[in-house]
Amino acid sequence: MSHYDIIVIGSGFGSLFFLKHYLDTTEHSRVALVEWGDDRPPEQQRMDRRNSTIASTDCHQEIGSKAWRYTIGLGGGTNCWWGQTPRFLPNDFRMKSEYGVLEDWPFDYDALEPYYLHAEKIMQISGSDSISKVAPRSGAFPLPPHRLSTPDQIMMAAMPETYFPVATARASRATSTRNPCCASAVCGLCPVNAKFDAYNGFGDVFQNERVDLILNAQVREIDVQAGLARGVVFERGGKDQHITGDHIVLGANAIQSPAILLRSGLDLSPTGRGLCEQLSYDVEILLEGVDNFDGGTYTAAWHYGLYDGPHRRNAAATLVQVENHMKFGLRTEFGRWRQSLPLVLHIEDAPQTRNGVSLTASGEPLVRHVDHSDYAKAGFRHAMANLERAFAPLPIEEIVVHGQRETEYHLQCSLRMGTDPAQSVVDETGLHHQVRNIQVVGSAVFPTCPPANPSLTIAAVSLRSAHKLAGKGSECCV
Amino acid sequence: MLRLSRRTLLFSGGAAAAIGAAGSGFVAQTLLSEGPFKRYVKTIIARRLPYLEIDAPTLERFANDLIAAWAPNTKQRLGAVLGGWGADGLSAIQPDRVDWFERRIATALLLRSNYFDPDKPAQAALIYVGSPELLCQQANPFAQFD
Repeated sequence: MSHYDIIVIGSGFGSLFFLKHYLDTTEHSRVALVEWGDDRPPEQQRMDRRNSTIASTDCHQEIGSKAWRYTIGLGGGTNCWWGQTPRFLPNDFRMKSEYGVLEDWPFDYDALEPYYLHAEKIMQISGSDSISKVAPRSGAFPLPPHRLSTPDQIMMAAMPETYFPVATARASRATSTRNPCCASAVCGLCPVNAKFDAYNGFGDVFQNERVDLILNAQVREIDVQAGLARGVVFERGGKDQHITGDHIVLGANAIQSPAILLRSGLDLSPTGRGLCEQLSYDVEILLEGVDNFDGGTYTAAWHYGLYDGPHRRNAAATLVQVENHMKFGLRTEFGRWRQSLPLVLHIEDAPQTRNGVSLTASGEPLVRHVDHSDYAKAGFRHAMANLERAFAPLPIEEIVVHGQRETEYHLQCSLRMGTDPAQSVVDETGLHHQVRNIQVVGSAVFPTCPPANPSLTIAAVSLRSAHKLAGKGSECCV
Repeated sequence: MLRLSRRTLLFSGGAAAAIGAAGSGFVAQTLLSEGPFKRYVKTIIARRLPYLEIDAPTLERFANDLIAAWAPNTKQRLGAVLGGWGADGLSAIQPDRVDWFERRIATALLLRSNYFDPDKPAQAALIYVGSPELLCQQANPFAQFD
């Protein structure tokens, strides 16, 4: 039986950023990276027009009105994501203290900031430092921002405190491993290798001789004896196999990770509860005389005007993603083809115990989702009531709500961080409250579900967790 | 592994919603077979882009390309209508999906032709280029880069 210093379960953002830091700061250790899916490089994904041969709908059962999607395969969500990398805002980490709702995170924005910066460096993020007005920065973005569209330029000139060029892992310039973005808006299968993914970003991890890559291996459970994890059992080729390890890093995703813990008999009461993701809507502003779609990437700007503020005492925050692609097609009236401004409203949700992950009789994940929270719905009403004012600098002909989006692929909050085992599953470094050599990474550990896309924060939190594991104290590794 | 029955329900319910929103069974009937689908595409182009100069063979070729690109079989075609033309299918169903779908048809023709070519004389006949490889089916010819 093989023995490892660390066994990492899953190979998405959480696992890979953790592992990257671990390999960079240790010597001689042996690592097993256990991945359910296969090694399918981007060119193969593009050829097949899908990220994975395993459909997420075959990997869990759903009850409720909401879909849950994710990518099973080497690189996990780094394959299917669209490269949006907003930071969370300072008040996202102190919602209880600031607004009396939700929970405070066990650390604040300032504690995470150097890890944000480090993650942005690894991913070679394009962005404008002007965004530090809402998300303070201690350093510059690695790459300059993408070109704004004409409506973006009007908005940014009129609202420089809340309207910013997007921060994104779609490169604005060629790097040593990536090409510049072509604005073709098929980022889930990026045709030009402009988007950061596991293949162009973590080749050194996959090729590291200290790492054994165990593919097509679905982890069934963690072997726990006398209060410590001893190894993992995975199914591969129809057979159960067992490896042992000193430390287990659990980074499947916010559905599969709690399922693995539950199958392992680790059933602290909050385990699996609170699964959520942002409530989101497709909206279109029909413009009068201003053309869109001349920006340099799929989404060129964000509007933070509906995000933070006193309304969060009663209504959720909304991050407005301003689109530079013809999501709803061109308009067909002569001469007005481009007078359309598509938006995505990302609205924060509140984790609720009625939503979550349990197991079916056969031990597979069962996702129950009754509904988004009333807090999120109030956030949508707040956003719609203020949207015309928020975009007042533009000549608005009409605002059209195209509908609620099925999913954002942003599973979160099912194994939340905290200090109280009655209310949380892991501590601030992701270490399991009961079994101290299991460390959970990924958005499952988020205590709350802010409106911003979570991938960058997953990366930053993982870097911080790896740094803490190495006993490096509070000073970041940057 | 368990299969998702909800998806089937959503699919059926979504189809019903879209059909209801259209006010008749015309849209569904149109999408369920190739011949009517092509006629539907031609009707949409004539109605949504009445100012467009396009000959019948070109329009026929465009309709064939659209069928090949979006969905070669009935179920996929309906899914393409209801779920959009993204890589991963079904989104929430809304009554304005039919209008959205028509705009996409019109957009596909405009973007795969020389319509927005600044050097094209205003009165010249449309040249439809087509796009056999449609991974970049929403490619943006208006994008500008620094």
